[in-house]
Amino acid sequence: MSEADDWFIREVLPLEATLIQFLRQNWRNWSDIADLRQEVYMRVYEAAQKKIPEQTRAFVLTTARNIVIDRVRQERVIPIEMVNDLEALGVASDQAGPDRVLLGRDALRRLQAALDTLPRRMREAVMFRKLDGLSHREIAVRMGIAEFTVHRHISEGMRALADALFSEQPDLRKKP
Amino acid sequence: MSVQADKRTPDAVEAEAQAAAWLERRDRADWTSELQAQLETWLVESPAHRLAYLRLYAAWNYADRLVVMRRPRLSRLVSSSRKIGPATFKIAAACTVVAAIGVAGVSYSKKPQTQAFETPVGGHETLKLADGSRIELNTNTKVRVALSAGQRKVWLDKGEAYFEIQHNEARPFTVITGNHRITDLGTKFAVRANGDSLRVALLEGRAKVDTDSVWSQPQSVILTPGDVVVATRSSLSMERHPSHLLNEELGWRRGMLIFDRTPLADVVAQFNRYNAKKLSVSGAAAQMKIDGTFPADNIDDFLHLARAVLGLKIERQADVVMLSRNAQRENH
Repeated sequence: MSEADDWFIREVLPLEATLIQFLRQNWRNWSDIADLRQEVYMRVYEAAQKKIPEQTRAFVLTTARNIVIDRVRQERVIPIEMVNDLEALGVASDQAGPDRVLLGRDALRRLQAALDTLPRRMREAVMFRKLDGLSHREIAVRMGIAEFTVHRHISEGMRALADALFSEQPDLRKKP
Repeated sequence: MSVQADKRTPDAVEAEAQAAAWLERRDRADWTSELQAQLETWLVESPAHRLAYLRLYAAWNYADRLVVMRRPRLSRLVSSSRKIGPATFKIAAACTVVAAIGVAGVSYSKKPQTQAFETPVGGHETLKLADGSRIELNTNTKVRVALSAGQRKVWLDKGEAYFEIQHNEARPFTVITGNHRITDLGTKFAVRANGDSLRVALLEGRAKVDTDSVWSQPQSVILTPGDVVVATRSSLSMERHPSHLLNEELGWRRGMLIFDRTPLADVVAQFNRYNAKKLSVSGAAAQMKIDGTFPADNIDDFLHLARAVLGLKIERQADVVMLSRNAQRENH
């Protein structure tokens, strides 16, 4: 794993909820949020491959702001007041916000909440895997379901856990 | 980079779906080096792939750690030796079921049980497993043990342990730490986990070390006596040590630290592994070479010698003891 990979996991992912909140406040079409988030991640990651930014929070949010401004301009119909709002956004300070969501007790609460958002059978499969270390085949036998159903539960469970842990937006990936 | 022109960038939802498929595939038992190569090709195709994968990978691994945290500390060693038998297993199983129900209401009946053991700073404990194998835990060490009919698994979560394994072909013994696996082939060996890196020293028999990483080719090496392998997250390196050096390293089993031309900085680091009161060394003193055998838990003896024999200045501060050369000798 590269230094940029480490940085991304350690410093950027914990900012995801803050980033999503920012995007939702400043972009009216919420079905674009997942793509916007990806674009922000790609830009900051590209920069980090050259040099790890010192102020991650400010860097991520400034990047998000620039991307939103670019998109507003491309849409041609520019809502002036929105651009003004954006210019005025105070994203420069690296303030200690509620970003470090993945630390300590809060992490535990988040994980429980994340597990609770999963459909019951998917949650069972994830727990057999994570709590008991059963293989997918063993889970299939234990739950009396087909192995490919276990594969689906696990891969869906991974996505749902990531959304619940990082962005607190369980439905982000469901496009209308 | 404009949005319209950027059609090469995969749709975020699609990238995530593919990443989840890869990560799930890798989570199955039958991962191969061909698949690994394909995954790595996919990962470098687009940063969007890599980032979607990193994100799910972090969440999935994170869930691992958190669920482990959720388990109650099933047992904490107080005596110097304890037999893990069926009786303790029942208690452990009951605790685990409670923990599981607390989260999801899933009922667990015939699952493999895991027991956790932990030593405090300065601790040293011996586990005797029902199969006759022994695990000695050094200071500040945590292991989890899961024994089932078909296999024996130990996770070294932190610290250092010495293993004497009763070999059983039908019931492999595996030590797991991070993404490294040590498989016993009839063996005595010592393992130290240090952050992401791992050090395995083999004293008798044979053992196999595998490193399974998405970020590099899986690597594997077979150890024979005298071999020492250092595995980091992405590399394996092997060296040979004469047996007397390996025995010195295992001085901790007798409560002793043994040094042989060891830099003072390393000596201090060793003492700090065993004692709540921490030592720190500054300036040129860090490079001084130390020989000798010291009780690991007796800092005062060592400090006395450091002052009397090495002529070091000892300053006791609130939570740390500073070692340095006297000012007039320090060469700046």
